[in-house]
Amino acid sequence: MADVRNWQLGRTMSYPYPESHPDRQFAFVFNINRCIACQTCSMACKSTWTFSKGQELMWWNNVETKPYGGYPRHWDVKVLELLDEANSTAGVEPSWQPTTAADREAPYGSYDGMTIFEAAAAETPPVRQAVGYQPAPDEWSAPNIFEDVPHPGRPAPGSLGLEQDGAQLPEHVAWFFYLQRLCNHCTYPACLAACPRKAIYKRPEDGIVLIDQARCRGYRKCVEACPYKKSMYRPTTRVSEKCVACYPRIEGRDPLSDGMPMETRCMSACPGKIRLQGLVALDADGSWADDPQNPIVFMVRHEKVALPLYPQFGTEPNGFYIPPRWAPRDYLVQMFGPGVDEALARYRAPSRELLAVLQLFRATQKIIFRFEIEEGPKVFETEIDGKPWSMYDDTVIGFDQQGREAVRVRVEEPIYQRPAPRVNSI
Amino acid sequence: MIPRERRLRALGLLLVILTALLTAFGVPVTSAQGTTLRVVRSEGTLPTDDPWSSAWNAIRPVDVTLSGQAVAPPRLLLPNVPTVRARAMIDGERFAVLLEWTDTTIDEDVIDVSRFADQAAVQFALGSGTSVCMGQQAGALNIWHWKADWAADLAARKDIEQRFPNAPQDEHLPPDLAEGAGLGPDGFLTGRAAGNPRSALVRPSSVEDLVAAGFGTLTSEPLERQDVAGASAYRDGIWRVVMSRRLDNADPNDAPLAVGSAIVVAFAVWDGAKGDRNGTKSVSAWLSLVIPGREMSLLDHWPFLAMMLVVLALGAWLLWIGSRQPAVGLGGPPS
Repeated sequence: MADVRNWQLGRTMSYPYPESHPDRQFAFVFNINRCIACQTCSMACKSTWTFSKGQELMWWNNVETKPYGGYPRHWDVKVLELLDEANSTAGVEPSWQPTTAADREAPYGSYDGMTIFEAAAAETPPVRQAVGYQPAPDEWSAPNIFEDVPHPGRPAPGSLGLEQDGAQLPEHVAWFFYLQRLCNHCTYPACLAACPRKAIYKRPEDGIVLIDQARCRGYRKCVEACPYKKSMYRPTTRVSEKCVACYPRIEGRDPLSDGMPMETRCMSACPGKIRLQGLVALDADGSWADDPQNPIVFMVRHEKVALPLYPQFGTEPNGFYIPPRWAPRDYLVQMFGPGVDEALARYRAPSRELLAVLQLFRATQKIIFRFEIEEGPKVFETEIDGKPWSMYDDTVIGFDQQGREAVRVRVEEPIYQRPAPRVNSI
Repeated sequence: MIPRERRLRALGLLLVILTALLTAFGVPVTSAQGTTLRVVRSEGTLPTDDPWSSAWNAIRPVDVTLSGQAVAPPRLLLPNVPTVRARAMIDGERFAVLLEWTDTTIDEDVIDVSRFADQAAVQFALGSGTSVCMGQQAGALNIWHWKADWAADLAARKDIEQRFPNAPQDEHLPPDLAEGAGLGPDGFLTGRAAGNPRSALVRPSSVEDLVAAGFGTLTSEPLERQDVAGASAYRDGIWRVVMSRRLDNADPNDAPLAVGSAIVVAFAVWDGAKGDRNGTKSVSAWLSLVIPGREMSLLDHWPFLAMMLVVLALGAWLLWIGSRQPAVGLGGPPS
């Protein structure tokens, strides 16, 4: 085990391999508040990569409804439970300790609970690289089951999830939100750590994590170890597969992209405009280069409006979420760490820059490496949480890898009025 | 009446002679001798296709104790299969090894994500600088790896329909599109396209011929050099697996199996029902595999027999001398 730096945990942690970082890291920000669970992302991925035999139950991208949904079923509850057991066996009460705001490499404080790697090392005797479990076939087979029932758990057979006694108002305290998931192309991937074949690798150019289809021997240690359950076994080829981050598009090999890096299929297909994906430049020590004009870096590290999914797992995932405003905070803190309050405060009353950057979501398929804002007039004033807030019709411009303008969007959506003769004509 | 000490001496002599004879005929007398697997020359056809043939039953097996694999993760601390029984035979052309172990279930399904197959392997040291743990750069290993799923595939490759008969039969790729892309109706089979033997539609054998030179280096030999045949059958809670290959095949990555030579081997067994795969396996220490030079007859043991005669003569002479001497020490008085 080596000591590696995990900025999301604000501390060093144990990992089977020493630090070695790519030049850039594939990363994305999802705005959960905007998602309508239309599954267009899931279908874009499926129709591109997983439409063949043996991939029927394989959803590299899926959207599940929290708190009851999960693909594979109850994946996060099960992994959290394993970590809980490990922490309680070791007598550890996991908590986030605040750090000084000046500590750029500990934006959420310092987590003192055990990661999946440390929990495995603490087992006596240690036999594996990460704690995890292997979902059974039926746990993969119905990706959205139990999501629209009023109570958790398996409905009685034949009940269709309907309650025998009916719902009793006004005690209907249900809440839900959609969670969009794909491989997080983690900085410290558990799949890679657990693979005894060394068939899994992280690409030095963009940090995309891939399974070598020629080397894999179908041991399924990655399926067991990945806490997000995004390594999947394919019975027809008897080896495991996972999200490839549409790497031909990231490499700029899609004919549409003019040779420029392009966002993945699941990102660019999003009708709800919840997704923005990019490549984050890394310093030699693996920390994110301070590049506030990169929209991902701006939202994650400067505005801290987007948070990693289950950072306590310890894999340093590179997918970040703007949490939903309406869900219980303790649930959100469990899922996204202690940065939730600050993230939601900033999302409810966004800064002038953040509001402009939020307009870049789905404005172009090209990966935006840099943005600039041209200031516009004030168009709206109100009070949010008792404080004045103003909206400006700024223009945000996104630039591609070569610094060419890729997109230009205004904060206020332009209104086009049909001329009178054609008002009702189609 | 024969004196007591004479009776004891005679009994001791008898035991020495019996041990010598048993050893000469290849019957192990002590457990330490289980570290040698002596290859038996086949009287008739080598039973490579029939693990339960009477020719195999006629050979006394060597019981090989297995332990867990506690060196590299994923580890298995206690063996799921504590013992494997090994036998080996040659004829003029081929070498065959039979492994037999107790297993309460047949596990040959790997279609289901949560199931793993029973497996067994023999590893042969290539050179003297190797390591029993997957070899090392100074010395590689040749590994013969039998898999119950590969054996079950030989008749007809198992697919989703067999394991999950009610699974929806989607049309994965419209035929016109599939043909245009050079694909079958099953669409892209990535592992197969990458040449992964696990994904292959047809395999030549249930045994994979591999080379390893350290953890994570296990490499399947090219298809044209896959020359290990396999036969397996499960009967009454016992797996029997025969793996066989031509004697010397001049492949530097293959075990040199020459008549009149010895090579170091080790065994491994996986119990699929217990989730065994990769490093979670029950493994043996090194054994010496001794391949006889030619058919052995009683006279082939002449140096040993000559030595035994000398020992016996010496013993008899000492007994004779002893009986003529007055008793001293702890001996009783002459009667």
